[in-house]
Amino acid sequence: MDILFNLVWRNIWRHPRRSVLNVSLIAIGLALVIFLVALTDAMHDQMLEAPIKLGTGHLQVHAEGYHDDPVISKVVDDPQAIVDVVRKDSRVVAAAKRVVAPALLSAGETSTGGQITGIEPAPEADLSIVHEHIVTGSYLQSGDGRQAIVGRQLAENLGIGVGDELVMLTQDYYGAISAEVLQVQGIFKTGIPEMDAYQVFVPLHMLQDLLVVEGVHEIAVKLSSAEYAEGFKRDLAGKLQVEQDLELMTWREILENLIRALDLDNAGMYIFLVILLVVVAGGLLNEVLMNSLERTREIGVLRALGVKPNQVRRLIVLEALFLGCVGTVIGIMLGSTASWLLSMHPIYIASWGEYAAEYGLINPYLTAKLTWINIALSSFFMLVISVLAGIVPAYRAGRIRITRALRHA
Amino acid sequence: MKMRHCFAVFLMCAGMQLPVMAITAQEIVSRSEKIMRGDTSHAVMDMTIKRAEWTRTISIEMWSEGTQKALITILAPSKEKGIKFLRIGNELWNYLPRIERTIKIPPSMMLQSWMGSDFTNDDLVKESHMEKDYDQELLREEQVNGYDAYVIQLTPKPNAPVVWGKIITWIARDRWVPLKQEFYDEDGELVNVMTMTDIKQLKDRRFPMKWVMEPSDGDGTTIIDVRKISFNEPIPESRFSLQELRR
Repeated sequence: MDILFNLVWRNIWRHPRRSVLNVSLIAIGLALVIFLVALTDAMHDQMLEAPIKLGTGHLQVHAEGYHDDPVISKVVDDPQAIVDVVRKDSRVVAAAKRVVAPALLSAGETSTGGQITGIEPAPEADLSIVHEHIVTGSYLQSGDGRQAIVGRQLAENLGIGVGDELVMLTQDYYGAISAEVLQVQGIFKTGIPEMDAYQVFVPLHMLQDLLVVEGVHEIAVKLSSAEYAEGFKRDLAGKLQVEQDLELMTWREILENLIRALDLDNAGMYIFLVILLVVVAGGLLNEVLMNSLERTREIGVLRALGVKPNQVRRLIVLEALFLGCVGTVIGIMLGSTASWLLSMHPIYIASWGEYAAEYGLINPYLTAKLTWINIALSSFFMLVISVLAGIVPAYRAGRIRITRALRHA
Repeated sequence: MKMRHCFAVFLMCAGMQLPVMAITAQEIVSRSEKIMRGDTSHAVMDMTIKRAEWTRTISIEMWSEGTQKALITILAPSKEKGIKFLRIGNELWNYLPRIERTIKIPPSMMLQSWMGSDFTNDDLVKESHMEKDYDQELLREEQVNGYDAYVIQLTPKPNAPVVWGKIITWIARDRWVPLKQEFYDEDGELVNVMTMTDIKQLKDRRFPMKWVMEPSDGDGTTIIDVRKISFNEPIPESRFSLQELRR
C-alpha cells in the first residue's frame, strides 16, 4: 500500500501544472455549487419571510374548515378568550384579530374586485409591516369609523386618492347585500401585486357591524422566532378550552403552496448543479485518462514486475480521489468564504426591486445562507464524482496487455 | 222534406247546446295566475328565513303592474330598511340607500338567492309566467290540504326564459287558488317545494296568505306571511321608475 501512495504522489507531481489545473477545476466547481445553493437558500428564506411579515404571521387560528372554504359565516365565536390565552405565552410577540370579506370596490364609474380586512390598528401594526409602507396619508387609528387604507395599485385603478370616497359592496352573514361608503385615509405600497391591487384595510368593528358577525375569521400570531411555530401550536392546542371546533395552522401549513413552489425551484437548481458537476467530472476524467494513457509503458513495466491489474486500477482511482479531496477541501474553503462574506455584507439592488416583487419579495437583499447540509452534500457529490472520474480510466488501465504496453512509447 | 228540415234544425240546436265540457289545463293555469297577479297589486308581507343556525324576518312592501313591472321596498329590519328592487320587463335594479346607489342586477344573477332567502330574484319579481312560458298538461285530480285540486305539469316551451326543467302545480278546483308547487331542474331533480295555505277571502278573490318555500336540500325554509294585499287599485306610473327608487 505504501508503494501505491508513493506512486500516486509521484504521478501527480510529474505534471504539476496539469494537476494544479485539475484541482482548481474541482475547487472552483465545488465553490460555485456551494455559493449558488447558499444564494438560493437565502432568497427562498426571504420569499417565505415576506408573506409572514405581511400578515400571515407564524400561526393562525380559524373556525374549522375556514382555510379550505373561507365563507363569511365560518366565524371564531369568542376571539378575545383565545387572544388572552395566546398572549400569556412568552414566545408570542403579537396577536391580531381579523374579519375578512371579498367585496366589490367602486369609485365613480369604475369597479373592481378586492378583499376587505377588518383590523385592530395597534395589534396589527405589531404583527404586520404594512403600516410601515404607507406612502400617502396615514395608517388607521383606533376608533376610526369608516376610514380605509388601500393598496397603491388599487387606488390607481380606481382613480382615488387620500380623502376620496370608496364604495364597497359585499354579502353579510345572512347572504344579503351589504354596502358602505368608506373614506380613504392612507395608501400603502408593498410592491407585491396581491397586496397592492386587492387589499383594503378597515377598522374591525365597522366591518363586524356591516357583516353582522360577532366573532372574527382569523387570529394571527407572531412569535419571537419562526422555529417555535410547531411547538407553540401543540401547546396552544392543549391550552385552549373552547366549545367550538377550531383549526390551528402554522405558517408552513398556510404557505404550503409557496413552499412547494420553492421546492420545485430547488429541484430545478439541483439539475443545473448536476450538469455543472458533470462538466467538472468530464474535465477530471479527461485528465486522468490522459495521464494513464501516457503511462502505458510504465504500467506495462509495473505489470511485468508482478503488480496485479486490480492494484493498477486502485492506483489510478486513488490518484483521482486524491485530486478530488484536495480540490474539495479548497472548494469548501472558497465557497464558504464567499458565502460568508456576502452574508456579512448583503447587497441591496434597487433596480431589482420591481422584478423581485413579482416573486413576493419586498426590499430584496442579495445575500447568502450557508448550511451544513449544503457543504456536506455538495462535497460528498464532488468526491463521488472524483472517484467515478477515475474509474473509467482505471478500468482501461487494468486491461492493458503487458506485451503491448512494453512496446508502447 | 219537413222531416229533413226538422232534423237539420234539431241537429243545429243540439250542436249549439253542446257546451265545451272539459276545461283545459291552460285555462286552469291562466285563471290561477290571474288570482295571484291581477292588473295591479299592492301587498305588505313578512318573510321569515329559517336556517339551522339562525332565523330572521324581513318586512317588505310590494307593488306590481301586470306582468311587466314590480317594485319592492324593504321596511324592516333597520339595517336593510329603504333597500328597493325595481323590475321593468327583463331588467332588475337594486337601490341601496346607505351608499345612495342603484345597481343593475344582470340576468345571470336572477337565480341567486334574494336577500339570503330561499326565493330567487326571479321568484320575487315574477319574471316567468306559467301560462305563457310553459306547456300545460293536466295529470290528474287529487286532494291537497282538504281541497280538491287539479294536478298540472308544466314543461317549458323551447326558448322560454325559464330556469326550471319542470313544474308540477296543484290548483284548487274552487276558484283556482294555487295550493302547492314542485319545482324540478333540467335533470328532473326536485329542487323546491312551495306550499300555499291560510286561504282567505278577499274582496274579489280567494288568496293564500301564507307561502312556505322549502328547498329539498333540507337547509331550511322561507315563509312569506302576507299581511295585506289588494288588487287592481290604481298605481301611479311614476312608481315604477328609477327616479322613484331614489326617493
